[in-house]
Amino acid sequence: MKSARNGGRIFCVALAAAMLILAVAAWFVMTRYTTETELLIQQHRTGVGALTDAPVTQRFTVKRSGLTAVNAMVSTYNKKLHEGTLTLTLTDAQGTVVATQTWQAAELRNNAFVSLTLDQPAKAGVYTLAATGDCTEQKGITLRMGPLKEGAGEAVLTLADGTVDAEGNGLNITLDMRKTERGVLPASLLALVGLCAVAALPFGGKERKDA
Amino acid sequence: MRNQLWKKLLIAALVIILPVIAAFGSDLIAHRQLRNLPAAEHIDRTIPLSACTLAGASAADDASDETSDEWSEDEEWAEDEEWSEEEGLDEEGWDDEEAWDEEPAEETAAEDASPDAPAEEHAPAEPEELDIPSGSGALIIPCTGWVEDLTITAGSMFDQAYRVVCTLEDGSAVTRTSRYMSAMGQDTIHIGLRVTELRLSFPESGAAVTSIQVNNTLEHNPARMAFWGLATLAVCLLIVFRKAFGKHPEWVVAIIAATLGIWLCVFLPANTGVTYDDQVHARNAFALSYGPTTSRATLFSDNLGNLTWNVSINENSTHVADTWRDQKLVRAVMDGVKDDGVSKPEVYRWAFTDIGYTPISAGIAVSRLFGASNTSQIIWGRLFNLLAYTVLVCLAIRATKRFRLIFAALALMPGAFFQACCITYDATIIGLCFLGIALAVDAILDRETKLTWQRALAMMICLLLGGIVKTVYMPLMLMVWLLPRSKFDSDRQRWFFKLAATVIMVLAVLAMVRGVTSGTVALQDDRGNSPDTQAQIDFILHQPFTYLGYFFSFIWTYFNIYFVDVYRTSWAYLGSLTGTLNTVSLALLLFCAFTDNAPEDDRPMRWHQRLVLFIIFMMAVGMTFTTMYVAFSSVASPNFDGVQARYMIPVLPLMFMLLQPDGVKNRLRGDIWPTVFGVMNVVILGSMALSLTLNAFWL
Repeated sequence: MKSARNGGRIFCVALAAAMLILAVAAWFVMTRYTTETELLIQQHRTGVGALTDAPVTQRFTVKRSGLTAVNAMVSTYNKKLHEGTLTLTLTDAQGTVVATQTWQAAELRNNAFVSLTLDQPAKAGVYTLAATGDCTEQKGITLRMGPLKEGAGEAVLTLADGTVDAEGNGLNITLDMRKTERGVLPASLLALVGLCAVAALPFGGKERKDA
Repeated sequence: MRNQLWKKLLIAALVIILPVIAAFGSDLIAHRQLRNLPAAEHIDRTIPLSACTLAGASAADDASDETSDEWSEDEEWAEDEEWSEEEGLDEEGWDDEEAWDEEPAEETAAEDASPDAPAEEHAPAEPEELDIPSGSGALIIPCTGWVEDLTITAGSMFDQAYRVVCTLEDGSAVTRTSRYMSAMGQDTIHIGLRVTELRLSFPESGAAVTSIQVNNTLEHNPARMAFWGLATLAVCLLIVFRKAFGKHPEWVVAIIAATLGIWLCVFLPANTGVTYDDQVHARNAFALSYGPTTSRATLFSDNLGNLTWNVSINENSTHVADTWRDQKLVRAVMDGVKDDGVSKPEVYRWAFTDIGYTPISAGIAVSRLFGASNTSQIIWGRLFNLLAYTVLVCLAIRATKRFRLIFAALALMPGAFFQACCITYDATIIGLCFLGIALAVDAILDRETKLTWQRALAMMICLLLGGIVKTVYMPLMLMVWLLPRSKFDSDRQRWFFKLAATVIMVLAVLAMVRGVTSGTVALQDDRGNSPDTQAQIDFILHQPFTYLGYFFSFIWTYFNIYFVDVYRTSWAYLGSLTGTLNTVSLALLLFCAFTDNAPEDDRPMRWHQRLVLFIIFMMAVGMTFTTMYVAFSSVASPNFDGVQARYMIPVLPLMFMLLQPDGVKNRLRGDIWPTVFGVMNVVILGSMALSLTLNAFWL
């Protein structure tokens, strides 16, 4: 009889505990990843000159973790190219190569972005993107550049001849940042249902029947 | 004893036989003229195109006057000078055999019918197609005798209306209209007349007709038979079980749901564009049917979401299939969309609205497990939605000792009942709110019985789930503050419960706010009149009295629309019930509201309880209006755009409870009045189903 009387209380406690566990599970299981794109410059205005073996480098700051790709706008001077390559290399502050990729000139489109994808999301910090090319056809390959956006952080553009740009320009690159969204809504719903069970708990000690 | 057994058997037999008689009888009556046809006419026959002629704006002579896009794009009508001025036209035109050889397949040979066509160039063979120009052009179809249905196969780039003018034996003319959908390539129009001639025209954009068939074979109309059979079954069951309704009025709702409700679920167009925003609901429900973490968008659900198989008329997305043959065709086309599994992943965000989609998604998922076709998945989604709605509403009726028929009347209100038979989350919200309100109000009025943990838990969960889907209904949780002291063992218990409910309500609202800030839930609707959420909120906060003035003025002006009509007899895009039955529906609802008080029920609703219920009701109404004001209306506008009366349905029980005076007792017989109530609802719902569904889509 006592166990029967306590049945309601046991049920409410069990329900509250189950909902809490499910809420925690939902928080992690229903995590969603989305991609946000951050820009480095306001508008591209010119090119950095034909790329050669001497790298053109762009140092930039990633303010938060989750960098998944760096996209750079390439220009072929509106010419169709057939020979040559473009190589982008991303290194971290310690000089470790994070990602590198080479494109054939023939597959490049004028004023289009090429995407240097990272194997796994990178942490916040300072990174350097180096661009080299060996295309001698027509006018070659270049990267577009323009004035830096406000709040771009530490960003330094070094041209192929070693000159550091002092006019506040940067390469036209965009950063793909992974955004993690935990399962807040389902977790909160489950937690609220658990709270309902807690609210009903005081009534579970004594079994009564409706009139 | 034996007599009673025989009596029961006889009743059971009648309950089975009468609906069957009604089903087949309805078909017999509908096809009575077809049945009386001589054998020679009792067949399907194809009318040769060579026997047809063009009238009005003829193809050859008047082609230059046509402004149809099809004509303007035609490169081959080059003989006419005006046509030769068109870009890329061949100047050799009619007389050049090569030009004819170069014609694309859809080019018409309508010039064969024209007296000016160079006859020596065109053999009098059966033409592949006849090109009916737009405007006043028409195709004269020589057809004598009874025509039950006419199936037209044609090619047109555009969805459009078309008409068939039927010349009767007495010389008079009757016009039948229908809509042609280019994606189907074929349409059947119901004629049902004895004719001497038919004139087919596509005034909007013209069409190239390739086949005309008269369908006179007797085929049973499944929708009609099911309708009359189920409606009769509903009435029979209401009469047979009348004695139980005094104690179990929820059975009235269950019977109607199990008959007319199922009919609606199956025979409403298996498509979107049926009820408000169902293209969005369908897409979300299909996505959720793959699971809360692995949802997908498929080609089929994308098409549903884009209203691919609908035709837009005056901002409404209508359905072109107005005969059962068209229904078969449309459903075959829809079922033909294959994804070979999942076509593409979708970025999916679980949202609180998925609570409302759960029954629908469950139905879709279960049916898909059994290999159901695309349209069958829609139907099963609806059936599960109806089941959830019926269960919740019946529990609400059972949970309360007073106001039972109010809940039943509101649940069977055509506008609400229709939502339960469609793909929309509104039905689940209505059911949850009804159940929560019933549990709360019954606990409030019953001062003698302590509150049990079952009732406390169920009440909280129902009000939470119903309110969190649409936050405007969250104020309903404040009803717990009306629970009298006698329900609790101690003041501590009382305060704990009431404060806990309030905290849960606040947390739920904050969770909703979190959803808005994270982008999962959109607050601003760009369909509105230049809404600016932030500016609108600033206006409300800085000029609250002005805003309240607008609010109460708007409520007063449009009270009838929002609280009396309430989309009561509206079936969204399908139409509404008007006339006498609309008045009967209102009268029935108000009668229930004023008289739903059994003589043995001696639990008055005190004036302060009515006041607080009124305040809670107005809070929900106010939040609804304010939410839409922020999302839809232009800044500082005196009008509240975007508020639809159906948003009031979940909280209507409160309003109708307030209307009921304690002193009015319903002494009508408990086995008669619920039966009459049920039969009247069958008549109202049945009339709407007949006019807005059966006679609209299943001719």
